[in-house]
Amino acid sequence: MEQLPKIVRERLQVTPKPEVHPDADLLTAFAENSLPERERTPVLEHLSQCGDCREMVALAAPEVVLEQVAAVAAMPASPSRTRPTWSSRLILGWGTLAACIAIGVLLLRYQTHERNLPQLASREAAPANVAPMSNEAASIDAKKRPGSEPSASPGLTAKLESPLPPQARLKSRDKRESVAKAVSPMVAGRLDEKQGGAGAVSGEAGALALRPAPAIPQQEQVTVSGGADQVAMADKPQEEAKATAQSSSATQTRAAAPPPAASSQAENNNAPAPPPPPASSVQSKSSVNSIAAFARKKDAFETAQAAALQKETAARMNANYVPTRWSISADGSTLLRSNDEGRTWNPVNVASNVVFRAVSSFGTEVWAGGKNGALYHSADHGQHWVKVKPSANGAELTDDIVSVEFTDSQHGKLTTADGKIWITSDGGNTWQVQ
Amino acid sequence: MTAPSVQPVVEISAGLEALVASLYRKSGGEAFALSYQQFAGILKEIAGKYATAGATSGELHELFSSLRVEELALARACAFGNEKAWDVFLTRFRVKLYDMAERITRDYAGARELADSLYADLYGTESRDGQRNCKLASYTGRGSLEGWLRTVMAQEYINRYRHQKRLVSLEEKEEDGSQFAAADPEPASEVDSRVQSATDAALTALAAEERFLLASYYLDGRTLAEIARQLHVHESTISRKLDKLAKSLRKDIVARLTKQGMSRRQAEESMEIDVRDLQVNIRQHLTQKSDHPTFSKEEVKPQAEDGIG
Repeated sequence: MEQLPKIVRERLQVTPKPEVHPDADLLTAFAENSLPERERTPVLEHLSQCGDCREMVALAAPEVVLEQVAAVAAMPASPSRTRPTWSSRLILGWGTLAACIAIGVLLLRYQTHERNLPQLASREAAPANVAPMSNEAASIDAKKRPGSEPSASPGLTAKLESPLPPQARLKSRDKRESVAKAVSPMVAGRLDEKQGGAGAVSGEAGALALRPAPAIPQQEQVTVSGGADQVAMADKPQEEAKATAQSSSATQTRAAAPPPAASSQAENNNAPAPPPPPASSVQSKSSVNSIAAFARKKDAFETAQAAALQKETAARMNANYVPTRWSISADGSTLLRSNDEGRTWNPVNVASNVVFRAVSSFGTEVWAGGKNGALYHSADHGQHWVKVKPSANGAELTDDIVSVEFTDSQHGKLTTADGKIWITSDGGNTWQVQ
Repeated sequence: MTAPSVQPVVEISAGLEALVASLYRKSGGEAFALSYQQFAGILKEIAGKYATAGATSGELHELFSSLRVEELALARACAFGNEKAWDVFLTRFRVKLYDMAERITRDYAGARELADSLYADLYGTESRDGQRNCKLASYTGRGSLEGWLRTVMAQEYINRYRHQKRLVSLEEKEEDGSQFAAADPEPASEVDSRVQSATDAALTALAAEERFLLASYYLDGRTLAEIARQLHVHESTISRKLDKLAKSLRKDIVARLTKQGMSRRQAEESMEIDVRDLQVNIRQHLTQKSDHPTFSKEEVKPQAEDGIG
């Protein structure tokens, strides 16, 4: 760049400073580029002479916040990080690879299952000898060493489940990623070796969880060795297995109303809980082993996930837990969420063409109201939103909502611009107008 | 910009009544117990502050339409002490204020203090003539409320910093070596007045934005990106403009100086003379040839013993 003559620099410095300064409103309007030209020019003229006002405009510039929000919006949502690190990218990459392989294997398995369905026969389950599982064992992570790989040795058993229906197989990438941390890569590798290399050889638990299990006898038992820490599952009837599967993912659903901590973990797990496997028929012996391996991995994964969730819930229940904060962008078009006491804010997409004016959160429940009666509700920290249309006495709420107050998941109050108050005591299903 | 003590009286004509009514509905002020009359009074006050005397209906229409009426109603309702308005305000801005303060001060403790102080001003902890002096009462909706809060906070920060600077302790001054500071040097001979006047004329001929660019980049040390954001243009635009400005200034000053009788070479050399360099040169001259009078017109024959030192 061409250098400025020194004499020019010197003369710029000796420019007399003006006495009258523009007020904060004008400087703000200037910074936001909302001044008409006839007003902008005098402000610029003043700023060219007044270093203090230039300093003020520079300090008040919103660009850093917007850049942070934009940068965060460009990444996958992560409650504890503001920037993707190499490890998260690595996990994301492996998760993607595992997902692709798992989907292919699942499709293959499904086709195999469909062909073999008439040949399946049920078997009686053998009772399982199990030992209680410790949290440390449950949080099987990458630090787990060989020796924790599963084998056919007795002592630990896992209840096999019948093959999952198709809808249970497809799980979110995020869920796989989070679980990937809970299952040892070595376990996955050794398991896979025992299966003759069938399916994905991946350290990611997502691959394990999604490895297709051929149709298996409903109650067949297989053993899983957990090394020093015994990983075990009690023998349960099918209803208990269903309850276990549901409880491990209960924090993902609205009905369970989990504590905020558990739900923030569940932010990454938005897949529905797999329904209980239907009754199955006899399977050929060659597929039993693979089924057993899949069941072992699935159970280990679900157990690890549940235990990890318990651990995190307990950790978050202590005094250091930081609740989620909600706010609204300056123009009302976006909700903003912070998981670190407001240091960073992530935009949350709710709906387009909505101007929000009020937001209220209680635990995992979030209610946001805005113009023209727009009302949205999320039960999972803003992961999913439902549009709510309050109506009372046959009339819908169409006025602007200026205030939202919810004291718990059931009882809430909306205040509209025309002064009316809408009250619900059943979580928004029915409303009364005051 | 109007001087604060002179505000023309503005009456809202019948033609603007419909606009005012529409803006009142849009503002949602009724929910905060802000009446139509109060709202209209606020608009009159804003018009009196920013509209020129004898502003036409069209100009007032443009001014009112550009206002952020929702935030204006919220701020003014807070100023009137409406609790519901404060609830909304706190929901939206409580956390943001701390974030703004932290970004300005880059210091957590200082940020808390700054934000808390601003909160007190916004709420109006001080009263004057029985009326609570609430800073939110001065918000006019020309810009966003969040931007206004940032500007007010920056203003507060700069005022505090200046105030603290004046209160530097004597010990700090001693540490800075102020008591051992050398006496002010002799004033150096001035740069050719023709150069100064040509430079001043060239700078005056620039547009306000161009002078702002020069001041921001060369005096304040702002980066191209920062300046670009302030002016809402691309960074490369600022770079091109500054380059072009420097070239055109140089050319303009040289042209003015040559018109006044200077040669081109003289003019170009004179632009690069720094007054501080002149002072240094004088000192060096005095140090090197202390036994010779300075600025003497006599020729000095070089002697064998002459040398640096």
